Amino acid sequence: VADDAAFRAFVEANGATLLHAARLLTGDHHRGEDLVQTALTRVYLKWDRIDTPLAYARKALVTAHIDSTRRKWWGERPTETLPEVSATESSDVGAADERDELRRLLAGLNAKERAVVVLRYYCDLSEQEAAATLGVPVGTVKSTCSRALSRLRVEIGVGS
Amino acid sequence: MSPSESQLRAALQDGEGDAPDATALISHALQVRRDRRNRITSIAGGVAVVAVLGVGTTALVSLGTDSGSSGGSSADSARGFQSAQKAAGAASAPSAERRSAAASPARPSKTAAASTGGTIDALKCPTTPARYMLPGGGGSGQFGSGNPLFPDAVAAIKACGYSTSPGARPQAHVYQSPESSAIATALESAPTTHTSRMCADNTYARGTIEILAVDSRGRALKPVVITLNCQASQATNGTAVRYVNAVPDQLLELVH
Repeated sequence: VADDAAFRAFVEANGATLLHAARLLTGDHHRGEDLVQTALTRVYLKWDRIDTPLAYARKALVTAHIDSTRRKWWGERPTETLPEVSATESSDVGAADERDELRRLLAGLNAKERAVVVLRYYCDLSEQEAAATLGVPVGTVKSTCSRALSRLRVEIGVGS
Repeated sequence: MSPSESQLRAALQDGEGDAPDATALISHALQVRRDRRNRITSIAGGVAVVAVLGVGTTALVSLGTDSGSSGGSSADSARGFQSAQKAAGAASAPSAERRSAAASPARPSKTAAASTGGTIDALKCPTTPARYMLPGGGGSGQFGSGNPLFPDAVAAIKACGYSTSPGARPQAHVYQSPESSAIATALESAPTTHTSRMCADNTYARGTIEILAVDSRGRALKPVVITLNCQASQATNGTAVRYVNAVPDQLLELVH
């Protein structure tokens, strides 16, 4: 049986960050909640066997997200209009500042690029830590991050 | 606009909310664990049921073969022999009495006779007699033909008679010592080479007799099959061959 009190303390301390990271990864509020629930469930079930719960939770989050995008029969599907941009939100975007636009454009990246950007610039992980979390070489993190930022710049350039 | 790292960080960190409900997470995790265990248990149960069904079916098929309820063949007889070996092995559990019986096989004691009696009863006549493929077609002087039909001293015999008459059913009879020894000696002492002789008896028995024998320790010996022929009946255990001119009368009665 997992140490419930310790797990509660962990969720209190890191739950908000993980939930926000999940929302950024999925680009959707509800799917982000589902994703963080999946990741934290895995953390709880292995609580007695993991040394660094936060690193494990981040890895579970990213893995579950990338895994879900691979399952095309129920996962993400490319659409003309991004689902999280509703009519009201679009009108808000017109008047919104650069932050909103950046987050909207983030949803246009593919799953791995989004994961690298979130881990590097939201979770403040180093390239080595991001590589370890994603299970890829550091060089892959560097190239993926560079490509993602280039795409964001291009999108912003086109938008402006 | 070109996003700097600080702009990107600020944009990403904007809108952080509250932490998820830990209690709900724990109850969900426990439910996931229960579901996973139930799934594993049901899979393991299914595997166990299939295994039990497989073993049960195999045992039933094996029992059916032993009791002669299924179609016969030489493989059928071989399976019966193996089952008999197992039965004999089970019956010959080590004990002081069995050891004393084994020490003097030539003169089996009453206890040993009772033991072999129990073992010989466990031997079942196969649906059809064993069919041996003899080297050289069973001709005289083949390799190993002079070997003994019964490698060990015979303590008891179950003779199974198969008549060629239409509709005839196999007949079985058990012979204990000394009658069993006399039968074994009569077969063993027959010539190892075929000698033609005139056959004037048109009513001579036709058919096959399978001899299931056990030694003094209750071990089943390899079955000996006698193919009756008026000129010279052939007795063989698959290697050794005897051409029996005078098959013991008590055996002939089984196929009449």
